[in-house]
Amino acid sequence: MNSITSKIIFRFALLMLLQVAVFKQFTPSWGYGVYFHTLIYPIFIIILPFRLSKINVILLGFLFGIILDMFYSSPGVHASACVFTAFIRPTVLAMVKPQAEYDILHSPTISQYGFVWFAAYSAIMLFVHLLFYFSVEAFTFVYIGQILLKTFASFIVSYFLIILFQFITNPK
Amino acid sequence: MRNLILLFVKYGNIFLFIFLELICLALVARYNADQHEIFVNSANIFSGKLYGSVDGLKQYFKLSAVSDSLAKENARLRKILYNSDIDKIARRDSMLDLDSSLQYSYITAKVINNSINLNNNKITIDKGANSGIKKRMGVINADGAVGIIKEVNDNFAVILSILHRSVKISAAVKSKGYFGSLQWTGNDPTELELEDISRHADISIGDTIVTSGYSVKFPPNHTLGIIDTFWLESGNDSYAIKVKLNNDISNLQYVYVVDNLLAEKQSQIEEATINE
Repeated sequence: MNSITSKIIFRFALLMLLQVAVFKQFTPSWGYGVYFHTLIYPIFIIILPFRLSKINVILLGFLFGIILDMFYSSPGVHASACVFTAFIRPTVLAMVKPQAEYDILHSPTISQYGFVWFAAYSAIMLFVHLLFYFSVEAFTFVYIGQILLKTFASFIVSYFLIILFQFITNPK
Repeated sequence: MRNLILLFVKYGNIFLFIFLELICLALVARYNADQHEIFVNSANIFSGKLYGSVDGLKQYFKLSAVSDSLAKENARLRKILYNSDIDKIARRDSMLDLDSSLQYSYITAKVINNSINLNNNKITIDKGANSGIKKRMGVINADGAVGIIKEVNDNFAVILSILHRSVKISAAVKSKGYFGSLQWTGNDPTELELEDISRHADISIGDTIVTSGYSVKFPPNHTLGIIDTFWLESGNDSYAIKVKLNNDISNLQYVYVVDNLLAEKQSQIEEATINE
């Protein structure tokens, strides 16, 4: 097993544990607190290395989502959001392409392409993920107001955590 | 054939995306329709164990609050034991005592998983069929109602929380007798809506809402909450009433599963007349 595979497996386990054992437990109970969901795990898909094929990224996203769903008692909800986020990843990467081309040996991280680039890239990815997730959770667009409210509220806390996670672990 | 393979190589990710997305949505739809899948509830052994240990850790931070609430509960029970009034009037119509003096017994359980911010919330507890818990039993805590048992295995049970849109509780306005059904609207986890109270009813803000005892799931006169606001919608024959919950679903530690020993008898006789 090479180092990149073991790194991905380790990150998979770490983010799963963080999401389920730590962030799922923070459920603010005051008035508007219910709109704030803390989802840190989309960063797993965000910083997967470029050398993984599109198909492998989608499969990894599905695997992560379906296992997370076991803990959230919501089969399919997280998984569908993960699959969608993984699927549009190449499109988003093409949208925010930096001056220099992407290097196939790298990962889309701060240490490779700088803070500003990563902030923009992860913001788009996270927002798309959250919007898709809350839409599937509601399963209808009747509650579009609530979906958007939850998306924006959760975006604020989750985005902060994702950037923080990048700075702490700082993967190459 | 070669072209077909090339097509798959080129657009494989799109096919895979659509395929997996369809699987996910099928899962979601199925789960919304009925919750019989073992995968659906967190009562399966794997996640149940993990939540058990996470909860063990969380317990340490809440020890003082828990002991406070237990002490309060003890005091209340003691009051009932020693100072309970003697009922001097012989009630000959009391059908509850015909062959059993005890109607409700309670099974204490610890909450190991809970949510309040989904559209349909569920609670997992650490007692199951081995402790005598059965499907469709009611669950209360000292301050109000908690939910209704939905799935049971040997060691765990899953409760549909009162913050679940399909849960309805038969409730009454205390000492006024009007009754209706209490249901969550999916917004504020501290507020439920009471329906079917007729516009002729004489209610006011601050009135206490209790369980009616009409359904077999909950004992009568257990406080649920107070009337927060109410209004009459035009063209409607009954009030829309917002009820502020007495208990805090976001902070549940111990709950009581209601074992109504006469439930079967009540259901039996009610079913006997169902087609009349």
